Amino acid sequence: MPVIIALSLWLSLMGPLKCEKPQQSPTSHYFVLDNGLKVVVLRHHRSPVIGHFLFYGKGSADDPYQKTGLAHYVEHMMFKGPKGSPSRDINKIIEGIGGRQNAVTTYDYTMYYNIVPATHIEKVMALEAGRMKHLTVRESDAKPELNVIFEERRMRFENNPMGEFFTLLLSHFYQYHPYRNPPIGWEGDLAHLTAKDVQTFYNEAYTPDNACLILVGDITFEKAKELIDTYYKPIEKKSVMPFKRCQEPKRSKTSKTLTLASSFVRHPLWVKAYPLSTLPTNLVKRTALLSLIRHILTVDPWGLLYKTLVSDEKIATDIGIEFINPARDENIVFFVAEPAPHVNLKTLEDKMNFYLEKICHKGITQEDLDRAKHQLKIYRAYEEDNAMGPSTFFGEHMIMGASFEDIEKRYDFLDELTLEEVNTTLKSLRNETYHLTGYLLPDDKKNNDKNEGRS
Amino acid sequence: MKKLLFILLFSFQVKASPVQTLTIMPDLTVRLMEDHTVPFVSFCFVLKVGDVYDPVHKPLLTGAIMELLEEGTETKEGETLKNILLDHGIQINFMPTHAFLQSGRRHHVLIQVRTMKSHLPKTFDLLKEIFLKPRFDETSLEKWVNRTKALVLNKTENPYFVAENIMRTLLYGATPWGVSYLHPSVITSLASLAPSDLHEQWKNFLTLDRFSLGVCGHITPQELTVLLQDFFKDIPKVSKLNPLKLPPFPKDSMEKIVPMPIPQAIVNLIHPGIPHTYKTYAAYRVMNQVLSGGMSGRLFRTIRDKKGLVYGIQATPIEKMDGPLYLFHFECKNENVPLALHELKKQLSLLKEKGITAEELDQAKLSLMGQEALKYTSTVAIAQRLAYSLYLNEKETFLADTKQAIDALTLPDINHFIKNFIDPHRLQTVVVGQLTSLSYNEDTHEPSSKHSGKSVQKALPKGPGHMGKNSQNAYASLPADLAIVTKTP
Repeated sequence: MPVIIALSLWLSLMGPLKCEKPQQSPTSHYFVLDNGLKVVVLRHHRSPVIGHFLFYGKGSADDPYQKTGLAHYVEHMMFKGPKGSPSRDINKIIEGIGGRQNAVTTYDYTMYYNIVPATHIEKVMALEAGRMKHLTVRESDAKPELNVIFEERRMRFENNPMGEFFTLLLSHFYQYHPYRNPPIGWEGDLAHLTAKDVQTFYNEAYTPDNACLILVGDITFEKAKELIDTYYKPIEKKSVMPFKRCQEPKRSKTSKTLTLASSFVRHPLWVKAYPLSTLPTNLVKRTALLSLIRHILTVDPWGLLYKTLVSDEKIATDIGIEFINPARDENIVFFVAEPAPHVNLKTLEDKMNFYLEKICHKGITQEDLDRAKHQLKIYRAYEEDNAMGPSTFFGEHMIMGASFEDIEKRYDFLDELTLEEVNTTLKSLRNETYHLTGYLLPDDKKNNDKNEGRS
Repeated sequence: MKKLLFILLFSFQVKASPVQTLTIMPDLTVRLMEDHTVPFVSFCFVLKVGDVYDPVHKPLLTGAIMELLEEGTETKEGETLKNILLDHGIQINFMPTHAFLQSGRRHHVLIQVRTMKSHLPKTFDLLKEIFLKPRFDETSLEKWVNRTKALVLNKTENPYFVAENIMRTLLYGATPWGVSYLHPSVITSLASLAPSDLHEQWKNFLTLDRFSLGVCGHITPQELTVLLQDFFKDIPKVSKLNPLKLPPFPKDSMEKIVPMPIPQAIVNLIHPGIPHTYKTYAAYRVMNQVLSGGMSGRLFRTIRDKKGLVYGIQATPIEKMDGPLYLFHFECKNENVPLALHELKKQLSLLKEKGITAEELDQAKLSLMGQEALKYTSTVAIAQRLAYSLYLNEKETFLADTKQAIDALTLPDINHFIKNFIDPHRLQTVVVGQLTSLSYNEDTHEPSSKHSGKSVQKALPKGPGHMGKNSQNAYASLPADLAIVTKTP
């Protein structure tokens, strides 16, 4: 169907935005304890379940020099300890009541989550507050756990060409900034990490004034406050380890390339990464802006890059945009494209560069912007479907400094973004003189040898 | 019929409404849980169809059908259809091809729908068009073939995918369940798919007897009945597809090592499972909870926490894929595989010999009940659970039945079950990695250099496209072996 007919059909179908309000929406409360712990309570009463999400404001970008992987090692050791300690018992107790729990270490924060039947929330809080207060790191636990981390590393990177590729991309993108180091750490550094390193990092980073608790689910504000006062209020604040991150020097006009040829890849991938230096200072507004840009460029079927390269020209089988966002330091955008089987990577690259340049130069239209806003906003109601709802959004933005009020207004930020703001960001990419292009390629020689060996 | 299940069920109070089973028409019942606190409704269709029905020379035909259903109808191009869905916030999720390749969901598929109540009529008008008049045109098929080629090409080098495919051929050999997607002929077969193949197979799939439907959200039984009576009225009652018989589980234990130059080996072991309809199913679940309940199960605590051999290790009952199976999975560096396997088998022997303790039983019961509560955190999850309850022929009282069965278990019951259930001689093992033997010498604490049986180097299996066109049982000609094969005594 010609584009113009499709477009007029679309216009005729698009009525005024109907954003129906649920009959009972979750309500939220925010407060800060005297010891600095930020607390958000999001009430959601459909299921008798509560999620306890605890964010600490230190991540792998805070690993000391030549100790990459330490923040992640600490995360592992938060499940160890002497018999009877909260850190050692937490798996058994939470899973013993049917709960789910785990943790994640990112560049900028470390998060521990527990999702449990509502009647057991007090147990969770006692355990999490216990390991916020104290952690005993023993050599006898630390050694086998390091082996476990090496296994995790093999699984995520050494056995996985995509994981290895993106690790290498970031390490080439940055010269000095710690975003160049993978959260799991470099092999050489990991081997030398000790129990003492873990204890030191824990002592400096795991304090209430460096943490944010998101409590979501079937709990009243009064009950939440009572439990928080019992378990978290008595914890004394410590002096938080200051941020000592190396920053990138001013970049000269450089275009770098990185090629990884792997015998475990049969079909190539193309990636182009830019720093995003012209973004709003408000973190929530920044996220709204980046979501809009991603939608406008890549949504199936009308995203500007998707439609041109996947649907019309059939150069690519898929197009995507990834961001490092939210980020305490610099945000990066990755444009990712997979060529159609008959298309070589050079052709794909030329086309991607051509259309990116065209879009960034001309900018998007008001019609594109309105359409994207409409489509993103209509999904707002569905956010309330999951009892755990927007807990991660709240936690990761708050731990990086966003205000509770701004997060509450996240859809207003989306609404208020102007055409000029979106186009300014796109145009800044065009003016960006520093970028990195990555090629993930099949190792044809090894693949041929392998095929010969098998046939 | 309404039954107040939840209120009586658990020690915690669940706020949701009761489960209702509605008879929409003589051949169709659906399960509904009303939730009028949200402005939308979620539907989950489970269809008893899948790639075990793919014709021999047309692998991934079901995958193509599922992905191309959203690529337009007779009167709407794919782009138009997707724009209407986006603009109205109507979510329709047809399980995509890569899910077929990864999860091995081979004899049923899911279609999830979520829509605002105000768009229900529009949603079902569109669904009706999608189901009854799918487009399946050349252009979208070509696009799908290109994307799937890229996906399959890369997957053939993915050790997890290799392990899964080899296990399938090991278990089911030359049958539709044993088809491997590793051979390059799969790529050439993809190119031979035509729109008419999709139309023909979809017609076979789209019958009332293949549907199980769960619904949750802002809708009353009356509204749902009217909506579905209209939706299903033109769908034929009975499928012409012949039922396929699942091959029996192999009698003897087999081990396969697939050489791949990777630093970390992928290890899968399969033991026969228990169907959910068996009386011993509750005991099976409790046993699994003790053995592999998250990070506190025996396997995790011993093989990961104490020995530091693996990052993760799981035992998973697989009910809905390829009959009841019990899967053990871990990955670890190549040289540690024999030791990790030895430790795993040691845990199984210990469990068989000594059973579980009274404390473990109590904890497992509490844990399993808690896990039920966590399954009901969204309308999407609830609709899916309700659809599966019909798919698995569970009664409307499935929640109460589960609780009763678990509550009633005694320590002698479960330990008797475990003793009879665990049979190390039936374990099927597939390891992808760089090693030549899986044996471990307990005296020297070293991997043994001796194989435990004969070993044979085999070539890649031929793909479905290589099979004789006129063969009455074309699957019978499919070689099932790859790499080193060791048959244990």
